[in-house]
Amino acid sequence: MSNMIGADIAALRSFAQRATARSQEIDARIAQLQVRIEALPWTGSDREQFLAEWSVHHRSLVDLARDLADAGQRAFRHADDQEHASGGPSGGSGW
Amino acid sequence: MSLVGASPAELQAAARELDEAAAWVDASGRDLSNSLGALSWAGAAALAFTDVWSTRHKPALQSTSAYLRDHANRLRQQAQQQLDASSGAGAASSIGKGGAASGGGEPTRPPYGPRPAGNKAWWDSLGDRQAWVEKHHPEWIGNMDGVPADVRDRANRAILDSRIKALAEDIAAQGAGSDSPLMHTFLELTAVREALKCTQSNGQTITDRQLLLLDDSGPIVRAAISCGLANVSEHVSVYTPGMDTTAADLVDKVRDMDKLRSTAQSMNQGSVATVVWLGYQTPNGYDATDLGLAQAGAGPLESFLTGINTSRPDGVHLTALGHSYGSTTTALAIDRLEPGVVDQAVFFGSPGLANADLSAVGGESYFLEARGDGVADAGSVNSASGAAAGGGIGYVLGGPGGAAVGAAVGGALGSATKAEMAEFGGDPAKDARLVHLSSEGSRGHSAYLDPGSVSQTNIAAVITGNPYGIRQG
Repeated sequence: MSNMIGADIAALRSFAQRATARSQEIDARIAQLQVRIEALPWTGSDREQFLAEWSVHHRSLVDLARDLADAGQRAFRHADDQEHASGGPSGGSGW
Repeated sequence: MSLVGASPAELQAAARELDEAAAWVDASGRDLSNSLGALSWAGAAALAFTDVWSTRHKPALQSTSAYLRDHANRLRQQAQQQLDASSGAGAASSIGKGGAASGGGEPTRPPYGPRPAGNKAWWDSLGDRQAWVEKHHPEWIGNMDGVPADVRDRANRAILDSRIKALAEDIAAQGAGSDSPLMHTFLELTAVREALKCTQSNGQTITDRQLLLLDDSGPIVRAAISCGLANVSEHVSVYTPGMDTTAADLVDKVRDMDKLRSTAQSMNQGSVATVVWLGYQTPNGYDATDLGLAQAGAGPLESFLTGINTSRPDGVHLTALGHSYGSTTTALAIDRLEPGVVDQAVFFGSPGLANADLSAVGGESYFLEARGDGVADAGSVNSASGAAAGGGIGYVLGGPGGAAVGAAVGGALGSATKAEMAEFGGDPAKDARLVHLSSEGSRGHSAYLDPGSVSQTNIAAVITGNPYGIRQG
């Protein structure tokens, strides 16, 4: 059982790191993408439609970056909490 | 496409940029799925992220990736056209659309809600004014049961494109968030568009899909897609999926239908079209013990099946397929059908047929139940202990991160026992009206359509009306 908890804590920390890194990467990458997409050689109504749809995808990516940052923070916190609980004087229990 | 001053090389470079961006989106999605998959269920639940990932962000990333690749392909096509034109090989072709026929004045919308036979009579009465209706009022005919499938397809594709564009503009104008109903509808519609252009394993684009139903007026997008031409194929099947299936799943469902069609076509019994019909709201795991949604879906499915049959005066061999909760919906639709519309029915992974009258089926009704299919086992809850059936459902649904959901559903069914499962009728495995087919080698609730499996081969054999290909279980 304690091995399971240990594995969970390690997986949580690993997820927290990746989620945080991905969140930052997405933030950075969105800005680059926006510039490149604005620079694409569409014109007229094609351009309007392309950009209108892109704005939706853009928003999805922004939301994903935000939710990932939140989830990463929570994962760090839960990993810490679990470590304290399992190593504490009462011996603690898993989820 | 209108492009000013861009050379083929510039267009190709832009296409590469979009492809690269799409690859990055795909890689991000895979990486996050893997990271989440490494967590225990409890760990993932603590993050309150798994649900939002699977229902919102993952489909959104898939949609973004498809969008980027789609536009990359358009840029490449444009580059190629410029190259062709400059080499003099392809003179610019003017698209000469014939003027809409106008004889007899503008048609009026048919009365709302007639039966498919009435719809067909109205459509046939239009004569050369059909083109005018198609052009000016695709919304009249896209979902009109009784109108030929190729006409419905053209109408619905036109509606699909304009709805996606309009929604994108609304979302931008309102600043709607990614959890808004508008965004939800947008993602489901882009999934429908993606499902329409799925590619074969060799990368060749499949072009003979048909969009036979499209309705985003409600909280969910309802759609039906045919793999193959439902207006001319000798054999047509209509597959109704079960719980937790939404328009966002259509890419996968269409892939299953493609493979089923391949197997059926390989039997050399004539041309085949396989339709996936998602014209009803499927239950999520929590309310799968309620018959209400199956009853609500039965009417539209009955009309759709009748419409396919009615629109084919040349005759069509029609098979109804129902999986899981969709088998219950299919049985209730058959209960309402006039005799002679559906030639055969196949129920697989069925929790029960809700005491439906199947006598309208012209030929046989078939039944498959794989080993370890907990949903199908729920049909026998009257004789088994509720806890055992519940455990079965939990096992079936226990995918990545879904163990707790599965356990909860299992618990719900477990506690429902006789009172609720009685509505589903008796155990289909003991239903003497059904011919049992083998699903040897398949396990669980979701393997019936695996390519090359005994169960998929048997279902394909039924579709083609080839009794010699059928192995009884």
